[in-house]
Amino acid sequence: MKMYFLKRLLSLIPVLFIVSIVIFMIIHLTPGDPASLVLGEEATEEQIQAMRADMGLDLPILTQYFHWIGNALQGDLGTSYFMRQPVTEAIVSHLAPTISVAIIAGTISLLISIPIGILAATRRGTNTDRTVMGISLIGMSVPSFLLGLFLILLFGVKLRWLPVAGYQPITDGFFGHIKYLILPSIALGSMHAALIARMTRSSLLEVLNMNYIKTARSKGVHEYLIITRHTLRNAFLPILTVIGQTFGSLIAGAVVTETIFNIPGIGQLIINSVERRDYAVIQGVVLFVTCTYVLINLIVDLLYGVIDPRVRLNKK
Amino acid sequence: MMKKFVLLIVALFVFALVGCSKDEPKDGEGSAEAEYGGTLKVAMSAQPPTLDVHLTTSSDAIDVSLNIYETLVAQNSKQQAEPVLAETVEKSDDGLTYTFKLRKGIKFHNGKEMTADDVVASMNRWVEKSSRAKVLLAGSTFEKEDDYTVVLKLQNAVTDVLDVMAGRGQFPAIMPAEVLASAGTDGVSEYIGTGPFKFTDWKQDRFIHLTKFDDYSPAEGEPDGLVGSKTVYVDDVEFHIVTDSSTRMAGVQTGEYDIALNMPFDSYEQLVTTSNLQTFSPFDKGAISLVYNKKSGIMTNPDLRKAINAGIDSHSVMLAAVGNEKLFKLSPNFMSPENADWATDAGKEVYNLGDVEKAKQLLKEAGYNNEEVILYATGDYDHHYNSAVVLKEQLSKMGVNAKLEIYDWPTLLDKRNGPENWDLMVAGISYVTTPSQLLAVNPDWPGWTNDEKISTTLDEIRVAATKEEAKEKWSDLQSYMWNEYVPHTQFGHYASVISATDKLEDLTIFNTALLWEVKKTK
Repeated sequence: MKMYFLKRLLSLIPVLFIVSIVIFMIIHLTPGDPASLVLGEEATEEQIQAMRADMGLDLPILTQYFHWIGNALQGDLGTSYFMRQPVTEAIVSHLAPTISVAIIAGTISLLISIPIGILAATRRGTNTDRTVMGISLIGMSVPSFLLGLFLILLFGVKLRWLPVAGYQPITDGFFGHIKYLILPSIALGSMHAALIARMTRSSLLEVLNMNYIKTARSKGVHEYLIITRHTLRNAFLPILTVIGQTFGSLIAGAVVTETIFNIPGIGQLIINSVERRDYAVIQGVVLFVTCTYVLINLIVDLLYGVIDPRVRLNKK
Repeated sequence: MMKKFVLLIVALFVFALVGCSKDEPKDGEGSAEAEYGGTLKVAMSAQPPTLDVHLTTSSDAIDVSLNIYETLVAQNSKQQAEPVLAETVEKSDDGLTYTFKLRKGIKFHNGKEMTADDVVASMNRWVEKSSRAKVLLAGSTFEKEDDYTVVLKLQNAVTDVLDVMAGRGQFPAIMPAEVLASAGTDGVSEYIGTGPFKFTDWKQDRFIHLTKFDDYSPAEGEPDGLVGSKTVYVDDVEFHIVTDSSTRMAGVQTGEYDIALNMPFDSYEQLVTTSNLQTFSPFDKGAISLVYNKKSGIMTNPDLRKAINAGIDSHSVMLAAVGNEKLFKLSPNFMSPENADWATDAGKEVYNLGDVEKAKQLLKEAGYNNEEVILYATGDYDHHYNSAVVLKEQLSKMGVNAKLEIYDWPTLLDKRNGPENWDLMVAGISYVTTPSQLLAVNPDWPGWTNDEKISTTLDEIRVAATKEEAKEKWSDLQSYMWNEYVPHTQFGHYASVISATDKLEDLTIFNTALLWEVKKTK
């Protein structure tokens, strides 16, 4: 188990190395540079070149890469050209809103999706099943940004129950923090809920048709126990995989939703940095997101063994 | 157990909603006495790169910085220069020296009194850093005469010094000398000025927080543009970075923001008919133009430029650009039509002709042989993109083999610096205070205007004995630029759209929302 964990962590090194090269080359070969954007559109070529030199962008690209990777290995991801703060600091400050949204959206999606997925599976072929599947299809089909705009119009503009946009740190008050995140979390969580609900239904149906379930039923085991103890646990591995992937995408930043609701999270950071050609931040965020994805996948893999003893790593 | 859990979750959700909803005042409560103050929330479309305005021409930086910094002279509402931090300005008989007597007792936000040392350090840095001052005031120096007197020594007796100093882009903000001394290549690390608001906090990608400066010393006179007295009625200002225009719109509608800048043109009608909003559409931003590459490629031929100019229907282009007749003006003025000193309609005989047949004939006479013409525009600004699409159609009708290339803004900024890359470019051109600062005549700006008559006449304008003489020369030069050299084809002038809640009183718009004099009920 420990060896497996260690191996997976070590496998992160080549992944990050390859990602670092690819992202560094892509963004440095893309036209545009931060100096033009900092100085404004009326800046002269001479001024732009002077600032490029100050930023070290006039050096050969390989020199720039080795300089950057050398510092990154020591934990220094560089300094944002635009925000004038260390990249790690920028990531940390933008991470809190993203994590908050991810937790709330994840909670909403799980609270909705698992029960309705079970409901649809246990009432297969009925109107309940068809309704749940129909709603989940709509949930998957409606882009989160569109749902977000509808939610803003209804709950923000029309009813005035919730703020239309913005963010308040939890340190400034829990309710203030929550009220800004309810709408974006619903917008994001709905799509994920739909996906997880469909996965729950299909996964449960597969297990419900197995002989040991029929045996349990013939022995008179209560339906509630059959679902919760015997079916759900055995059907949970594919559901867990989807949950892991959706949570990973939430942490990586929901770019459009964060933009619409004006949440200063990782998604906004990456899109703003691309628009500003803030190379150091783009590189730092991509490395961070890569690490996050790999680690979430690792956690999901380890959870497989917790849920299902058959896939425990120390059992051959 | 499960039921209890679900009930708990529902109860928490309802509790959260109730906790989040606004406390509406009961009838009669709080209406007895209106007290001004509170926090003014302004939604802006992008985060400024820095608030060191000596370095950047970013309009977002200027919108915020106008509240923090002041200048020796600034623009009144007619775009004329008047003293702010200077008490008097005297020009020597030979026109080579300007003496600025400073107002006494002006405090910086750090509590220090402003003296000539600060002014000299600020102004000399501005001459060094500002792309316009570097050219127009080349070789000029500011020197201290005594603690409250600063002298500007010029190389040439130009008459537009004060107008250049009152320019909005990269404006000559007065900062403490010690702050400038410790500035790195990326600018100052502290944003300290003498303005009515002091910088407090900057949460990256969230907001910039300013607070009322209690020791502010306003200039005398009625508030007029950026000059005159500036009384502050609010306690704090927060500039929120809201990149999505629909979010800015919903935010100002619901009162989440008090003011929303840079609203989309297509929301104008909806905004003006929204009952709880006041919407402004000032014509003070600039014009949309077609820029010709005069350094490389076939557009170096002025006859080709004249031919294309003859075929352009500016009305159609502007209507496509902003989508509303109320938001654009057709005028051949390269300067702002509102500028009392420089507005002239010289060149109107060849402006907005839309004469395709004439264009075809002129193209033939100019020797055009269906060569490919690269037209650049950015997709990041709708009005640029829409103009370019209509223009491409018009060029096709003239028989010009135009290829439209659309880039994101940073890419366009990079690619347009290569003279060999492009022939035509759609660009937004900001207003300036004197003709010499126009991008259409700037030899260093992409487009690379390089004409002996233009540069000679501009020099003559700058040393003209009277304003009238200068204006007459500018009128002749504008006519020459439209009829002969054609550095740009200007489509028209466009308004910006700014909305605010109707709870604000006395909000003035001058290029942007001015945050002094505005009153917000607590």
